[in-house]
Amino acid sequence: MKKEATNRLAVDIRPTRKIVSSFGDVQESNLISILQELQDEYGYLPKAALKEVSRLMDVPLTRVFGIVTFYSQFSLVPKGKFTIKVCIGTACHVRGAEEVKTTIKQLLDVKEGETSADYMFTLESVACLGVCALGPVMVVGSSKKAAGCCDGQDGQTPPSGDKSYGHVKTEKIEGILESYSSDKE
Amino acid sequence: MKRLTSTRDILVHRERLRKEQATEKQTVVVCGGTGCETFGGSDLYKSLNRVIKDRGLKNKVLLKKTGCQGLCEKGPLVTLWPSNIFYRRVKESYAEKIIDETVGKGDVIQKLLYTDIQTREKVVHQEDVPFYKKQHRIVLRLNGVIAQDSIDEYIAAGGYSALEKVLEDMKPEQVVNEITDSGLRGRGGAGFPTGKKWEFVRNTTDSIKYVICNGDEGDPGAFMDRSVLEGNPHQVLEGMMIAAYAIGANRGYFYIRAEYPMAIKYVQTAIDQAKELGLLGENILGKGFGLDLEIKKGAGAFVCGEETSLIASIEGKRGMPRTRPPYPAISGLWGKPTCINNVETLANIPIIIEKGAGYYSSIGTKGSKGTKVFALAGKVRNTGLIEVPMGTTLREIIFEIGGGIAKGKKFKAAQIGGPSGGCVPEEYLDTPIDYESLKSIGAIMGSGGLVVMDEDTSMVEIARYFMGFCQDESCGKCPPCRIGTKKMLEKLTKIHDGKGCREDIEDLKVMANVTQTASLCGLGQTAPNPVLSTIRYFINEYEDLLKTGS
Ligand SMILES: Cc1cc2nc3c(=O)[nH]c(=O)nc-3n(C[C@H](O)[C@H](O)[C@H](O)COP(=O)(O)O)c2cc1C
Ligand code: FES
Repeated sequence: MKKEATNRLAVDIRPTRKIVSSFGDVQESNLISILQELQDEYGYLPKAALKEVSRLMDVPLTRVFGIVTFYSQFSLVPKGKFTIKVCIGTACHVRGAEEVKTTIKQLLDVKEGETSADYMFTLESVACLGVCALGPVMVVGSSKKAAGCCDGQDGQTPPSGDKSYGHVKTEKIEGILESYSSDKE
Repeated sequence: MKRLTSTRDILVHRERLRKEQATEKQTVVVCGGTGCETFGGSDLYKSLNRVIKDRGLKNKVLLKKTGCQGLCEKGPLVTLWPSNIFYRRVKESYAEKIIDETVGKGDVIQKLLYTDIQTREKVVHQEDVPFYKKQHRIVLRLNGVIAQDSIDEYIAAGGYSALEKVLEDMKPEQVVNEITDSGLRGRGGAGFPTGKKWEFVRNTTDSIKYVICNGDEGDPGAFMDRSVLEGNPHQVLEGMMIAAYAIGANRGYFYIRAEYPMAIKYVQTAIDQAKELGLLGENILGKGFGLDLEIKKGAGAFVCGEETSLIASIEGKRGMPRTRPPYPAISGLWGKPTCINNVETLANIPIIIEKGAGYYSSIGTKGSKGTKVFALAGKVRNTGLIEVPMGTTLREIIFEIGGGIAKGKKFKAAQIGGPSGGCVPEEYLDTPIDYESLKSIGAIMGSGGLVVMDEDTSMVEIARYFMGFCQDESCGKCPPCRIGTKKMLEKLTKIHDGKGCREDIEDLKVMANVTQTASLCGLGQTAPNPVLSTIRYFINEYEDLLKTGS
């Protein structure tokens, strides 16, 4: 993976400043919320952004890193255009989540938490997406704020543009992934 | 929208809404729960909308979307009012047929009806479906009835009358007493009497206090709280307002896990609506009581469901637990007295206030009052969201409501209580669901995850699975949990791979014991439960694996 190279690319720091200042008179209790917004913005947490947060908030960088590494939602490396979350919660587990995960690993040639060579997909596992009744479940979502993902009209599409798939059958997975690869533009 | 500034205002407002909403129109209700959405509920909704428009029926037919109606397995679900016809597995392509035939001519589409598994007969009305018959819906009473993003429908259905009642007629102490008398116990896992918790916070003298709604629902295999937050957020809000009034708090937080974007969205909408109407903010309904609510998103850590970790997380720190006492009721968020309650606990409050402690305590068993919502999942035919009176047996839930085991397989165990719970074998299926009975058979009520396993599930593998989960989620602060879960996982993997010997089982028991007694928080204290309960009831499966290894 090319994560080193990407990390060295210049990161635009302006959005970081904007996000931090949008919290007004920032307090340390906003740290997690700020990091969540940064991750939405960049798709991951670039080191330069974290340093800036530490400086602006006057919080030691070690503490910022402590938070980032504690919570599984945060990532220090860039993610693919789409993130595949395979549920490995109990209900999905007894209905074959492991096979689903293995199939995706083989198809994309990645390990868990890794990103495919073309930066299209990142594979993650999550414990329970709350759709247990339909296990095994996987959710494919765009990592970055994808424009046009929410039609917003009747407000029924999840804000993140995630799409969930229930009763996933291993034979169907390749087709699902292809449907994303084809809208590469 | 005009702010409501007195308790009279809300009465007038409710009457007006009721008149407005009283309709001669035929109503088509599409389930907007996550399950049905996953099966294409959104597309179906759009198609129905289009067909209604195309046929020029906008003035005659009302289309609406509600929260989870429960029978997720058979989604998307559609109900028609007033005929009360119930359709399941409704593909988008049926939109025209439903509008033209059922709405237009009153004809029932046989293909979309539910088939009773026992009698093989088609069932027309929702209440006759066996899945719904045994249920008693209090918390979920409005799920599937009101639109999930409408404060107007909630108010018209009687919502916020409990708030009005406490502000108008009850002193905070009376509210606390009413909740104590109802016998309500916390639904987040431990089952602590809610009234007593409120009393502790009420009796502290600090001028700043907090209420927190625990919507972390980290237990893998559970989706009750999510469905309540998405289906009827105002009921939880109202419960929180009453809690705040009773304990004397003016600020509160919803802690909701980031994996639930829809729940976050609907709760935020609800908060905004309540603010606009003057049900949140200062001087609510002119009674001098003020409350502000805010959402904090979780960031993917199971241990943050534990109350002291959750508080650390809201404070912007690593979500690690601390020793108790002091309990959050005495020293919680930023060192202030804090009342932290689960989503379902809070959703019960408006009903108790409205109908009285006597009504509530008439439901359930001696030590466990009211109802419990379960997320029924795994290898059962009708998976979904259910609500039953305490005291219902596991057999009734799995075989009557759940319709038995899928694909004609044999039942093996019911996992209840998630990673802190236990596996219940066939011979204990007639155990009534209440806090004490479940404990006596090595399981716990937990938050309401109920995962059914059939003959194909290996119990050693399940024990290993849960231990893997706990080991992964252990925050690492205290050694018994950090090391204990890891060592137990190693042993379980060894046995599972056929390399174990008899001593390994004995070692497991010792480690389980130490981890249980010496861990800092509930995560470690309960992590051994799945191991112990599988050793207790399925020792033969462990032994079988030993034999193949030697
Ligand atoms: C590891 C762990 C995870 C927990 N997760 C949750 C949770 O997801 N939701 C919840 O309401 N309570 C959870 N609890 C229980 C809370 O600590 C607390 O008891 C509960 O929120 C109190 O509310 P109640 O009295 O209304 O049940 C968890 C406890 C532990 C030890
Ligand atoms: S266990 Fe997979 S969605 Fe709950």
